[in-house]
This record gives sequence, structure tokens and C-alpha cells, in this order.
Amino acid sequence: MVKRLKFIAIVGTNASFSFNRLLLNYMQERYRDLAEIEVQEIKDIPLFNEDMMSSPPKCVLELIDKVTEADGVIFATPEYDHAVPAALKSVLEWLSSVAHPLLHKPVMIVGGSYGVQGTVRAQINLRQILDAPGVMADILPANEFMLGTVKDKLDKEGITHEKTAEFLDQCFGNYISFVKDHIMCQAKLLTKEEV
Amino acid sequence: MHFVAIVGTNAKLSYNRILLRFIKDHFSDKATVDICEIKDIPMFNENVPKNDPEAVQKIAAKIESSDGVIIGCPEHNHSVPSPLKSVIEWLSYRVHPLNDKPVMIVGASYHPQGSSRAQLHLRQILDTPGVNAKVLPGNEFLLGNVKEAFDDNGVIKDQQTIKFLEDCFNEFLNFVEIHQNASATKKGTQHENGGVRWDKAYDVLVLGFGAAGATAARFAADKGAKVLLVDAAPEGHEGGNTRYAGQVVLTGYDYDKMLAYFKQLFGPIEIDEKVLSTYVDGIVHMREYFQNYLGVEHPVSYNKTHRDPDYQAFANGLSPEYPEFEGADTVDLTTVHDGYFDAALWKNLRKQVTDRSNQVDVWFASPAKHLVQDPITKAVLGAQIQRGDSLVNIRARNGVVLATGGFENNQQYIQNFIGVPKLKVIGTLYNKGDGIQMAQEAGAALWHMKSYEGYGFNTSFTFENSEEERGKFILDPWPELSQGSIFVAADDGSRYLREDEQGRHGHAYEHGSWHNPTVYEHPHLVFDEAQCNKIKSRKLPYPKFFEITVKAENLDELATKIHADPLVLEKTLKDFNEAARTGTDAAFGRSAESMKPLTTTGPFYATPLATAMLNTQGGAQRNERAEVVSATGTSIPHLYSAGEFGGINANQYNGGGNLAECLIFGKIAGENAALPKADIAKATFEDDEKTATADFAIASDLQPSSTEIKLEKNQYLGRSNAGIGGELLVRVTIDEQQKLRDVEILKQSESGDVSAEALKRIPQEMVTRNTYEVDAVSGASATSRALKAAVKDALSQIKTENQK
Repeated sequence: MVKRLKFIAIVGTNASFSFNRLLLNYMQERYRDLAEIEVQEIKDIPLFNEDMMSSPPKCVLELIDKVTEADGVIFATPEYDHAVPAALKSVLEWLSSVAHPLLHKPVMIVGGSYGVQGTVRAQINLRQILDAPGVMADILPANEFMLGTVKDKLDKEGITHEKTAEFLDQCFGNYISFVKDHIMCQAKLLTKEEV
Repeated sequence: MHFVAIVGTNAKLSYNRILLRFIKDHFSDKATVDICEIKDIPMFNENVPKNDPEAVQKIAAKIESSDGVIIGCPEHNHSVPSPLKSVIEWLSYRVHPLNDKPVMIVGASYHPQGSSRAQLHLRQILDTPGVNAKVLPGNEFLLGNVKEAFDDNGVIKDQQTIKFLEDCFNEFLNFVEIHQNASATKKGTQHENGGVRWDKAYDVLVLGFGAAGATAARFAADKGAKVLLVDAAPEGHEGGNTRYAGQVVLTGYDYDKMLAYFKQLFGPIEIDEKVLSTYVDGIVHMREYFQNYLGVEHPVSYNKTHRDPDYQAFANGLSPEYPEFEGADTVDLTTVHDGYFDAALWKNLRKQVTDRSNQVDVWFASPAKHLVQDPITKAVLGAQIQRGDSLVNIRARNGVVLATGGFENNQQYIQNFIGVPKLKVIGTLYNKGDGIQMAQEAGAALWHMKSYEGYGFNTSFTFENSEEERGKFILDPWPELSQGSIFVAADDGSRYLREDEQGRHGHAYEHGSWHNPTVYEHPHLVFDEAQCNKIKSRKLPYPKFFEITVKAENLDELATKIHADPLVLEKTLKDFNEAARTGTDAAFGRSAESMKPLTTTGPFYATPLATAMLNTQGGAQRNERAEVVSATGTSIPHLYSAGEFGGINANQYNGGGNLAECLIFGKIAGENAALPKADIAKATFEDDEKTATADFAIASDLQPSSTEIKLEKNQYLGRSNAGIGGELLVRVTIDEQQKLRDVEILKQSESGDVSAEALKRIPQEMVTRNTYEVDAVSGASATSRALKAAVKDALSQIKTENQK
């Protein structure tokens, strides 16, 4: 029997209300047959401080473990000042200093915003950050899920706009393939080494 | 220059901090640098209730008051560290101190790139609409291999690197300066060093377009000066109190008699001999003034022309107003024609200005805000004028004339200076005491702050009607309010004045001289049913009289209704009835025949009263040359004043005295302000010739005069003040089918290229589409709005005409 895929889905904000959180909840429910998605909050993770690296906060260590064990990480990012929120950047700093659990981890990026741009600039920013040597995640190329005018397309029940839901299905399908290929590659590499 | 330097990390050891410290020390002769740490600023969270954390407020305030910000930016994961990003999020959430603030980015890193990617990213973040900082372009100071870069004292080892940092820093200083100049032009702000970016230069600037300002402007123009005349009121409302006044000008025939008369009017109030003598001399030459300067060949002087005390009771009562004084027989009043309260003098004075429109520019709805003073010589160099949304710096090469009138509409000043709870204005609504603040800023001495004139029935009353902004000016006698079963009750219900007093500009006789009666908060006329019927029997000089009158079945109820003390009111009525019966008003001396007992059974009536305010006299002190005198007694260079703002008339007042002062000192102020000045200001300021072409309307509002526009049968005029340059005037032509044929712009003071585009395109489009409802030209929404409103205004007249 094939092992069921497990993903960590990080809510990229510490705000109490977030459409990006709703988006992840929706994905968790909609793709429950394809994978187990755990929605991860970041509001309790303190602002990164390199002076705390010798004794990092417990929640950071827990997150590191979760990310390490997961088959992939999904980031849902809002956009603040054309960039990722400091709260999310701070998490990435923890995840690239104390330990490096994102190293070669398959990552999918989604995001929703009130405007029509749908977090495009924050997503590009996030890709650059995830591409930095200290992070070195394996980011699903293309498949840019940018949910603009989010108020009209997403509510507590999920995505209300059919075409958008279809596109997310397509992106997520591609991500599953990406993750599976990735696992296969890793397995082959391991096999080779063993040989 | 003062800069805030932000250490872009919360780490204990930071080479960026060392770099900022180096910058602070190395450039200490060029700027002060306040290094700000961010480690106490919490992570940004939009759910923080109401107020930003204290640390955020603190850094925001520091940035706000700085000339620029330097950010030392480390690089984490090819991007800005989250603690720094978090700070920028705070600073683009509730407060926006980085908006329009010059920013320099520096950065250091362990690797050769020296934080280049983080800096690039920081530029993008600072460039977002919510932050909108002005980042110094180029000049990328990227300090790579930073571990090797500093010596033990935190000094950069490499001389070439220091040289490059110096270049960058100097560029930043230039950048900040250019930026400040540009925003000074935009906002009309003054530089710290006293240098000013002038928007336009004139020889003389006159603040206030009433009788004094109009006179000063016209006489300055006659001396060859180019003049700007500004007024706070919109077009059609200028004129200050002059347009509301009786139009009579105090006149005399004998200098010695007039001087003696004034000394008695002023009584113990000391007035400088030279100022008084200049004033009196002007008054005894007033008829020549009318002939020589106002084009009135045959001025009408009341006593000289009519010799009939019954011809005009009002004018007769003022010429003289104090007949018992020595010299009173020389007092007369002059008008430009045989008429009163018809703005005839005002129209004449206004025409003197419009006749000189080639030399005098006029701005309406443009209140003066601040005087611009040379910090060393204290010479007044110009003023800041509010023009639309902009503050405009106007240079006055030879002088500024304060002719801003009184503070009749400023209740705070009335309480402060006159010391009474409130007064109801009966003149202009635009005299708000703007000149007082400016005079104080310039260090002027103030005088006659407590003096004011009133006018009304029973000495100085008008009615308290909260629906009226301006109190009703009751000029003619109204005997039913002072004769019969009626008296005036103060706040507690007691009488405080003699109701049948023949007031003298709001003054009543008290123990030897004439004074403004005490002003109470809610005085009332109190009368009975019989008196009520008497009042009703005549056409009411104030039609709303009975709308504001309250009725009560008994005295207790009345006292409650007017917030008086029932016992006091009862005693007042009893005492008054006793005085009426005996014919002796022991307390106030009201005449026996004017008193009739009130009924004691009711019903009773009460009408709310207010003390009428005609004009204040207070303002800056002036000398005989119309120069404004400083608090230390010297004259403030290049600053002049005229008219009611700081009038000579303290204590007792004869009607026409203020207008006489407007004409006399307006002329002196205008002529002296126009004189070229030898004392060149010592502070540095830009050459007059190089005044900036600013982005707002600086043309005169006077041209063309809308009264001289020809209209054909199918043409209509439309107006709007919705634009940015005062009134916009259009002439609309329609054809027989009532279709729009033409929209011509006759007058506008809009500015900028986009407005010009709107002024060109919108009328064409309106005609093509046969409606005023066309799309605005982007970037010129105010101008577009004004055009639409003006055309709509014109078209609405067609509709009204058709309805008739």
C-alpha cells in the first residue's frame, strides 16, 4: 500500500482573520482523499532573533520537526507592502538557521488578496527567499495560484468561483505529481547509493 | 540636517550597527544622526487594538521630525530581515511617517555582495504605495566581507570605501535639500534657516479687502507699486464690515475743536499724540479727501447739507454722538451721496481697486496665515497665503499691510480679550481675528483689545436666535421694547440697565461716562399680555420676534423657562412695579413715563436677547506712519496696518470714526508700504527674480469682471467654485432646440497641464454629447468637477426661465 502523502500548510500571517487561512482550510477539506493536510498557524512563533539561536523557542523546534517529517509544505501568503509579511519571513528565518528542514522539501505557494494582483509580488518574493542557499526548498515551478479579489471568490465554505476551484485542482494535481516524482527521485538516489 | 538611522536587525552583534555608528561619527559636522534600535519593536500584527505599541509610536515620531532616514540593512535569505520588514509594516499601517521622506540605504554582509539583494528588495518595499518613501537612487553602498572591513575602533579601514561612502552621503544631503525645496514649493513651507522659496513677488502685499485694505492697495498702486490684495471671504462677500456699515465718514472743520472732542472721547485712555494728531488732521480734511481721491465732486456732509435734525435720525444722532463735549459743533458725517446703509462708499472704494487692476491683483477666499519675517532684521518679507489647498509664499519687496479687520467672529478672542461670555455679530462673518495671530508671531504690541462697539435697541441688543449666524441689526427705534410694562432681566432674573437708554454705539451712561453694559449669558425681555398686544399692534422690525418668545401662565413658570431664579424674578417684578407707580427707578434711572406696572397674574412673556457686536477695535498697535509697533516699542520693519485691526478708537466712540480711520491710515499705510526699502534683509533667501513657477493659481481673481460680460439671447452664465483656483465662469450657448452649442470659459484660475487639458477637452465633449455629464479628465478631477458644475449652473437658468 502506498503511503498517504502528508503536507504542512503554513498560514502566512499572524492576523486573526485571514482569507489565506480560509483557503488552506478549503484545500485541506477538498483534497482529503489525495493527501493529509495539516494547517499550521504561525502567530505564536516569535520574531526571529539570531541571539536566541542557541536556545530556540519550543514552538520553533516543533515546527522544524513537523516540516522535516512532512512530504511537502504549502505556503499561503498574504502580501504586505508588496512583499511577504514579516511574520512569515520570520518563520523562514527560523527554518533556515536553527535547522534547515526546508532543504529540498517540495513546496507549493498559494495566496489570496483583496486586489486584483492576488499576491503576485509577495509570491515572487517568497520564491526568491525559498531559493536562497540557507533555505533551498524545491519549489513547484509555474502553477501560480493567485487568488485576486478574494472577497468575491472565497468564503467560509470555500472557493465559490468554479473556474478558480478548477484551476486550484489543476495546480494541486501538479503538485502531487511533483511531490511523487520527488519522492521517487530521492528513493532512486538512495537506492543508487546503496548499490 | 537631522537624520534617523535604523539598525535593520534585532541582533546584539551587527556590522550594520557598526556601519551606522561610523556614519554618525564621520559625518558629525554635516548632520546629526540618531541611531534607532528596533529590537523592542514587536512583530507586526494587524490585530493590535487601537494604538500602535509605544516603541512604534516613538520611532514614528522620530522619523516624522527628521530630515531623512538612513537604513542599515542586513540580508537574511536574500531578503530584508523580518524584524526590519516588521517595522516597515508598522510604519505603513496606522501611521505613515516614511511618506515622502528621503531615505538612504546602506548595508553590510559577510559575503562579497554586501547585502545587495536585500537592498534591492528594500527599495521595492519602500516604493510601495503604503510606504511611499523617497529613496536616494543609485549610490548603492554595499559593504561586503564585512568581518575585515572595520578596525578595532569601528572605523572603515579602506580609504577608497570611505571616499565612496562620503560621495554617497553628500549625494544624500543634496537629495534631501532638493526634496525639501520641492516640497516647500508644493506646500509653501518655510525653511529652517529662514530661506524661503517664494512663489510670487509683489512690491506690496495687502491682507484684507475692506475699506482699509482697498485704500492701502489703491494708494500703493498710485505710488507705482505692484500690489497683491487678498481677502479671506469668497468673491461677493469681501468688504469686511464696511459693506454693512452706515457708509458715513467722520468729518470735522476745525482741528483744535476736533482734537479737544477726541481727548474727551478717549478720556483717561492715553493715545500717542502723533497718532491722534494724524488722525484728527485727516478727519478735518475729509471732504477734500472725497473730492481728490474718491472722485466725489460734491460730498454730502450731514450738518452742512441738511441742517435739519429730523432729516435722518440715525445720522443726526451721530453728528455729533457726544453733543455735550467741547468741540462737538465741528463734528459732521460725510457720505459719497445722499444715502445711508447702501454700501455706496464701499462700492466706490472697491472700484478704486478694480480701476487699477493692471497694478493690483486680487485673490478672494485666500486668507493670510503667517507673516514671513527675516530672522535677523525682523523685517517682514512676505506672507503665507492659503490658496485652495496650498499655502503660497508671497514676497512683498517693500511692505505688507495688515488690514484684516477685527475679531468679531472669534468667540475665543472675545472671551480672552473682551472678557465677556459671548457677543452676537451683526456685521461681516469673515472677520475672525486672523491678523492678531500674525501680529503676535511678528512680535507686535497689541492695543485696545477690550474696546468694541455695538448697536441695537435698548442700548445694544439684538435677538438671540440660534438659527441665525448673524444677529439682526436693529437700527430704527423700537419704543415698545423700552416703553411700558416691559423690562430686561439678566441671567438670574434681575434688572441691570435702564431699558430706555439712548445708546451710543452700544455704550450706556454709567456714573459719568459711557460704557458697554455688562454682558450676560442669557438676558431676556420680560413683559405682560398688555405689552404683548402693544408690540403686536405694529409691524415687527424683527419678524421672528414671536417665534423666539416664550409664554408662561405665571411668573414661576416663566422663570423656569428662561433659567432665572423664581424668587429674584418675582422681586424684580415687584420692584419694577413699585418704581412705575412712584415714577422713580432708583436703581437705573429709567424715566417715569416709560414705566408701567406689569400684571401680577400673568400670562407673562420673555424674549431672548443677545448683546450685539458691531466691531472690535483691538489689534496691533500702529504709529503715525501706520507702521506696526513691536512689543518693545520699535516699529517692525516693512509691516503696516490700517483700519479696524488695531483701531485708534478706544473708550467712547463717535460713529464714522472707524471708516475715517480706514481712509486716513489706509492711505498712509499703502503709500509707506510702497516706498522702496534700503534695508536689505540679511538672511539668505532666493532672488526675487527667480520665483518659482508654482503648481497653483497665482493669477488675479479680478479679470475679467463678470459684470461686463455680454450675453446674447441664447446665452447663459454659469459659475462654480469647485475648482482649485477660485471662481470658474462659463458662457453657455444653446440653440433653438435647447441643444448645447457652445461652452466658453470666460474666467478660470486652474493650473497645470492636466487642468489645461481638461479645460480644452471637456467643453468640446459636452457640446458633442449635449450634456454636462461627461467623464472627468484623469488627474484634473477638481477642474472637471468645476466645469461640470458651472455648465450645470448655466443650464439650470434655462430651466428656471422656462418655468416662468
